[in-house]
Amino acid sequence: MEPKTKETFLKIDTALCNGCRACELACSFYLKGFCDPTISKIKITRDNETGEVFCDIPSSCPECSYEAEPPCVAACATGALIVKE
Amino acid sequence: MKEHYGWTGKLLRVDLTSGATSFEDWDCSWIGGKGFGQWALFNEEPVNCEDFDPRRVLIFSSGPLNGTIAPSCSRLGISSRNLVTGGCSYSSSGGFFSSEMKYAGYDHIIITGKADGPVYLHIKNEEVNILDASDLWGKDTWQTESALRHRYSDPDFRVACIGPAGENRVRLACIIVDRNRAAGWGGNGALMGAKNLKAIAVRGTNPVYIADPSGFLAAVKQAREKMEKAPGVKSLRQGGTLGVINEKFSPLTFRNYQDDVWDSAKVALVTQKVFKEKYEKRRVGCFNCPISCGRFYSIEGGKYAGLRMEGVQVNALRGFGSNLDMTSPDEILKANAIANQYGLHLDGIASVAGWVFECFEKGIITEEDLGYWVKWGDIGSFIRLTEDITYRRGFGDILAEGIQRASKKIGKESEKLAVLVKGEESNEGRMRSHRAWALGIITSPRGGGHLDGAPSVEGCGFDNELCNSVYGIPNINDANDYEHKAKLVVWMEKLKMLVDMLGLCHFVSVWFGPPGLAAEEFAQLYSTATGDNKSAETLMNIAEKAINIQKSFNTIHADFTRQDDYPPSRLLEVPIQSGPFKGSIIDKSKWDKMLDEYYELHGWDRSTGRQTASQLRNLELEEVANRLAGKGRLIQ
Repeated sequence: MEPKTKETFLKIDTALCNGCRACELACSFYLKGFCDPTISKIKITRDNETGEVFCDIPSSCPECSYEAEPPCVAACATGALIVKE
Repeated sequence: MKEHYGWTGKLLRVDLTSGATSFEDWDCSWIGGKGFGQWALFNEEPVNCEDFDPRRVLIFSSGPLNGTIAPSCSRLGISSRNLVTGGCSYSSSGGFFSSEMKYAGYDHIIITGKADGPVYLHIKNEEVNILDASDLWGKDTWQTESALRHRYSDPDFRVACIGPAGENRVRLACIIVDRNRAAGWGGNGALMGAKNLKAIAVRGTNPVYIADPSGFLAAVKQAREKMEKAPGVKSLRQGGTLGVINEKFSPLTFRNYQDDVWDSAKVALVTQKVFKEKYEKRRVGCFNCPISCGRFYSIEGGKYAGLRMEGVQVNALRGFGSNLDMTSPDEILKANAIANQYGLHLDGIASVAGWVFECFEKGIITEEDLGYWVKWGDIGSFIRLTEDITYRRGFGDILAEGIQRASKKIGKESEKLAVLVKGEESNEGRMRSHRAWALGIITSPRGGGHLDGAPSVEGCGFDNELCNSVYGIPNINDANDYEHKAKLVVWMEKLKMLVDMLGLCHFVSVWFGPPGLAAEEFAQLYSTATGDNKSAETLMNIAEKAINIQKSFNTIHADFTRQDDYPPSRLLEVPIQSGPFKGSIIDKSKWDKMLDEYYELHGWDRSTGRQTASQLRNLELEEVANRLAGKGRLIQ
């Protein structure tokens, strides 16, 4: 990954989020090298009855703040999770 | 050093009769998912006992990639004896259940026995409880899922359950996973109901370890990059398999296979665009899926206002749309919802309804039999019929046994209208025009369906040279040609078995067209995740062994032979009436030749379709050969 050069933060568009939890899992894998949603900084929940998605995402994480594209953003295939300056 | 990477290395065994639960190591040489599931079924399923004998086994399986960052690693595999064909059954579901099983610490759950009364299985890590489900019995699958998720106030509790159809042992009953996903084949819901097992609720908080994290990350990235170039992935992202429906050519069937073409004006009423504009609220993805073919729909007005659900995909559109001639997208959604709520396999219930409608039209089944009339295109007919089947009311009790058994009871040449594969209901388009597609469906060990050897890519117009390099045959775009198609099917069977063993979705693979993932990419993902370095060739060989296990199960339990690998008579006798494949039909003599080639490629006996001693020895399956020989069903 390329190191970033400017101050950035994470932004989620919940309307675009499909609730697949790829970002949540990618975070845990980046942090520890194994797959464990319980240690992730991110929590994604989808309500099967209503289709609503709830996203608990920190605006920035010290653990990967030097990455130009954090692993959670790289894992997101819908464009819901992005990095903003 | 950890003991297991990729896998948890453990299976959970539950005996509902005694209430005993235990944890065991299992044989990871079968990779996992369908591979181990079918192997365990082969070894543990009793022979020659009643359909609902408590000793029968029900196996929930995940693979070594479930719960990891591998793309589309969401599939749950369910293995059981097929209550319709008597052979093996395997069903797969997306959602989030399989990853949660892994986090709970289990690669597989093997269930035997029968509880005294309704129960559900509650699993949180190593805590396993068999709990009273009296309050859930009678509820539909949506009510059951909601009740359990609310009970535990934890959105990550994942539920697999049956509806009233499973409780009433309807042979078309399926298991519904995560409310909106179905594992449908072979009456597995009825088997679960016969065990008095209403549901499994699972939650896990353990990690899945990876043997080579940096190597695995590189393999995942490479896989994702390849997938991003695939036109099939782009199409699926637009709204799942509905993308294959258009006014020019669609893989549909019309009124119980009387044709493979539906009027283009009717098709226009139910395209992907219509569903998207009218109902779509959100794209939804299964666990860690970058494709996200699912859509969450909501009906805002009209008779079914308030209906909210995930769906529909092409088989639902075919089964309830063109097959029943229903043109209202509201009604197709409603029919799909009813099937899911009752816990009915949609291919099965749609096929039964189509067959009943045609029998009614021809006077074989009457208003006196049913207590009401039924007709094509009428949702009311479908709903009444489905309720009667689910609750085994009146004539519905006969139909709940499935077409094969019902037609034998009804007689009056109703068998002639039955379009069955190995005795099981079928809901597949383009079988009369696409040779490899038909061969893959009809030779499928589970009794039909397109998820074994049937290649979705056939006749799709991808570059010929590219296809030749990927699939190894020069004529993949010539759907009508029988030449080389057996070779494609046998290769596709192995590749898809491998996908099912790993716990991935078929949509990531070249099954859906180039340049998807193939054995080389799967070997990279598998080896780096588990630390068990295996080549693509070795994994494909293990897949071949697993296919032979299914074949042996079918020989022992159902005595299937070559005659069970022929198309239903309607596909041999009634040609397509219009469209680009007008006049197309399956030619019996050409089918025979294709089948010869298929058996030869497998090393099976051409005249009987049975396995041979030398071929099983080559696969190092001597024990399997001995069991077949003991039954007198092995060619020496």
